[in-house]
Amino acid sequence: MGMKPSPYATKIPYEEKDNKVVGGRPNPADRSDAIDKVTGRARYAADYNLPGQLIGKVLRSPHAHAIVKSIDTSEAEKLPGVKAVVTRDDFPDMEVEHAASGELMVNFRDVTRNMMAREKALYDGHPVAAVAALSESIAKEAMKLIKVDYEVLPHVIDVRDAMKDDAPLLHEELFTKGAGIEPDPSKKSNIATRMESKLGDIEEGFKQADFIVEHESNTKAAHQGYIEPQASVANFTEGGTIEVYTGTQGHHVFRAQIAKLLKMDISKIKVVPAELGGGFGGKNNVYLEPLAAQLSRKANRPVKMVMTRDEVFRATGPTSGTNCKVRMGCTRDGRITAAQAELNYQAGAFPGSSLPLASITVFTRYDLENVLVVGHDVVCNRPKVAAYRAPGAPMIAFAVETAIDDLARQCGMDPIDFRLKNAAKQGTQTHFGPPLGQIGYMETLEAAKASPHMNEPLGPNQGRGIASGFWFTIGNDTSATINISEDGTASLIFGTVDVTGGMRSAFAMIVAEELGIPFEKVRTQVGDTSALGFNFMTAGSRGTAAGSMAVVKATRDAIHRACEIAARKWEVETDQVVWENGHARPASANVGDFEPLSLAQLCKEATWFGGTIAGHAEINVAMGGPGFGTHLVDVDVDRQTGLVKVLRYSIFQDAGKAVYPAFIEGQFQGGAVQGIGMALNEEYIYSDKGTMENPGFLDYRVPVASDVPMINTHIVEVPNPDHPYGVRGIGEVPIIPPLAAISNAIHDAVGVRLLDHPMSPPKVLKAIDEAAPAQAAE
Amino acid sequence: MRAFDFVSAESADQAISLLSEHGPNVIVLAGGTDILVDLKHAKHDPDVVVDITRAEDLKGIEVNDGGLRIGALVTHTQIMDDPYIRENFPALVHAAHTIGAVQTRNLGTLGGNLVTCVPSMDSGPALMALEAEVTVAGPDGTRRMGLEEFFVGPRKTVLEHNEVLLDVIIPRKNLGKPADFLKFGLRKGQALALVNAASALWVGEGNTFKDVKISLGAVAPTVIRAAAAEDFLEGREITPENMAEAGRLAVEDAKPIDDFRASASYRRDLIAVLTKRTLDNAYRLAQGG
Repeated sequence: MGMKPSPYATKIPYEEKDNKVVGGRPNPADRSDAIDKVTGRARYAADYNLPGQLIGKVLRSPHAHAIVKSIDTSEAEKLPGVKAVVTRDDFPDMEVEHAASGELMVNFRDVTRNMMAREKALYDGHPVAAVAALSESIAKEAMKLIKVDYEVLPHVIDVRDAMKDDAPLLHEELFTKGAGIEPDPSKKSNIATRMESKLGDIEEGFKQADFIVEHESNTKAAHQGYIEPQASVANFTEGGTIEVYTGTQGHHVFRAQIAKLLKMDISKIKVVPAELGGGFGGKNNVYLEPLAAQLSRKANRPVKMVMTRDEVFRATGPTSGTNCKVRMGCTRDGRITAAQAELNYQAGAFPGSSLPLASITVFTRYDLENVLVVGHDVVCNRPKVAAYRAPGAPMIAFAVETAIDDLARQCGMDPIDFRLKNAAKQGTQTHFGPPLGQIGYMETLEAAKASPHMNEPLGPNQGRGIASGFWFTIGNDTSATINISEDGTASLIFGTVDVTGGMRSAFAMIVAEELGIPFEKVRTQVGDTSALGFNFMTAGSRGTAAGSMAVVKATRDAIHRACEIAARKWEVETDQVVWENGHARPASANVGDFEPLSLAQLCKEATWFGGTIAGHAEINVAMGGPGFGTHLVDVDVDRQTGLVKVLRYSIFQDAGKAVYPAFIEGQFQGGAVQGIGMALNEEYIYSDKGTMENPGFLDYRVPVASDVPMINTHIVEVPNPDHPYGVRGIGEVPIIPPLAAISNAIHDAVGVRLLDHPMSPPKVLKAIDEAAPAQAAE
Repeated sequence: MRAFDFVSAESADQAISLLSEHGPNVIVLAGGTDILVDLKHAKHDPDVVVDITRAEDLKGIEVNDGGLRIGALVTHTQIMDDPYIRENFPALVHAAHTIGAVQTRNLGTLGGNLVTCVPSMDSGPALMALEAEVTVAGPDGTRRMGLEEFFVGPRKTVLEHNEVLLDVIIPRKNLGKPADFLKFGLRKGQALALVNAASALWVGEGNTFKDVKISLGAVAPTVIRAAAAEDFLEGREITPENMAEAGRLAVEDAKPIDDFRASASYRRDLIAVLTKRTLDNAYRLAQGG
């Protein structure tokens, strides 16, 4: 984000046609990664082993905030079996330089400090040294021999505390900058940035309001919770090249970052993206890769590093914990006249939370005249925040969509009708920039209203909640190459890592559709960094949307080549040949009476007529095709324990046009389940020493299967006008509404408003007790 | 993990002699769901691990003159699947079902759950409410005792290093006694109990509480009986008000702690609610529902 749209970015208009393959439901077992994953043959980063490899481990700060006065590694280096130790002294310092890494921006000055502490350890789990040894147990022994002299400093964990004038400061050189603020070098602060965006006249808007609702929400940090911990194997050769096998959402971006951090040429590095065991934005950042590479360089052997779950929780990015204040007003007949929000977002130890993204989602699904959004990006002694599925959006939607619910109630309107009355549509001006194009928000509301879910009866202490969400679809650099094999089957290589959403199969369907060959005749693979030109990460819901644009272009390039072969054979011009139903045909009867040639037949002729059939594309895909979704949830609230049980859940989301509907449904469900877990249970808990209390799945409670009902899904299809198959990004929207939808359902069930996340049993019980002490005593 | 010797016993007697021979720095391997994790993280550093998984005399579920005998090596899944237990002790089935996940229940044993003796164990309360006794065997023979005596403190039982738990016995007088167990965790599977509660009762003449026993878990250093609540109920009429009062009294029997999982105050709320609900459910069971 933050990039200006390029006039040279690629858009391809939507082509309305009857598809044979795209939009169908092939056997799920034909999904190319399915069988290997089920049988255990899929190779994740931790499954790679290189001959002679060492095992690397990271020594981490036990303190939330401390000056690292000295590090003595001499005893560790003497331990037999230890082959290399690295500390801050082994990495060059970096200047301030920003780059996009997924949906968030990174600053290399901070990246190098996050990967390995320099002046200070800024959170519990911050790396201070790394060891490579013959075995894990030797590496662990060696870590005990490293002497780190810390000067422990006061720490700050909560975003509101960190914003106070007397808060312990994390960075000596940090001064608030941003909208309306000149950095004041006399005023150090933990507030890195202040953002502001507005529309109309907010004061005037509130004057017009008959009803005003104010909500202040607080959310705890939540982790992406991917099952596969970070893992990397690096091999630094004596020839000065590096190979890295790693779990990543963007191997080209990782390659560039490793090159920068180690001061190398990008082309000397090859990054191989392993099968990914979940990322959700959490694998947009380098953690182990530069350490493994530098250990490998020092030890002159390959080095493998795998995080424990404890390390994943303590040191890899969770989402921001937040404090949000929302004030909204509407007229008696339900027209929103003013909408104001303040977003205070934890960035973790270094600036750069999801605030810039969250702030553009705040009210973006409503057609509003008067808006004011202010945000603060705040550092505190926690791991640096990473993207997490619609980064930052669920938290502000928690405050906004619950305020909408209360406004609707004050007007005596149905919450869906209230949203319909104010819903954004094509042409709606956003508060952050461009007006919206063709979107399907209203259609999701209509679908929810018409769904059988609305007619399900509710018992005592049961309630129904609704909430909506918006997320954009980013474009960016995208590359693909298709090679038509000698037998007429197709092999696609693409660069947008399949983060398990099923992109490989979706692309295979598009290639099959374009070429007119069966889905089974297409193999799709993610290419490593040596196989393709630069390709941005799988982030911002761009995977299938942007990736398929390059796939279509590459495939059409190959089709052009196939038509050229037919033209040469028939001795006509290439533009006199068309591609239809998997065959080259004369464009009209005037061209001549030639038998159509299949791809397989053309392959046989290819050598004589000029060479193999292949196509490629290297494009910057234009951003566009935002997604909107509406969720309905029914809950049962136990008035005596505060336990909230999700009874029923339905999702209505605009997917543009569905390429592989079953995968879209899976993404809808997965996002909602993550949102439900976050809403009811998941939170980072810190001790008063600033150390994490629950760094494991036992006490960081992601839901298990029995905690959630079957999630109903309804795909709304309003095509993205700038994509040949009408595809929109779909992966992130579904995590946005659950927090608010569940709070609304709890309110409907027992009449209390929860704005403090997570809505865990003790908090719900407390709210019920405070609202009606006599009733709860029973 | 550090290297250790591994020996295997074919019977309880052999296990006892192996433990005596190699002790005191020995541990027993049954289901392994706890100790394999502990070994990996070097929480235990034993010289010898004595595997008892092949000791057939520690297995089996049977009803005999003494009552219902459950061998220490019986797994949670076996308890859940046993027709007699399903018919007569749904509370034990519920308790077994709340432990871990399918894999844990397939490996984990009843004896292991009791011997590990964490206050939040899920097997303890229902058995204690049913006045279960355990048989402990050592070099000098066997001894029988109630669970109240068997549990000593967090992760500590009366077992000496060369003793094994043979079986758990629900006395004959309590066969078919209506009982209920409830666990309150913050997730349906793989969760630790914030509070566990179990009640067992007979319905006496005039619809009164008879031989009512209440047990609580995760609210004191060991699983405990709620004596004040039991005393209050004994002989009184079975009414929702009396059950609620018993819930309030049960809170006084407990000593819950504050930790990051839950506050003591919230745990007290749960004790009152769960105690009342288990009494209510046990009573319904007695009524045939």
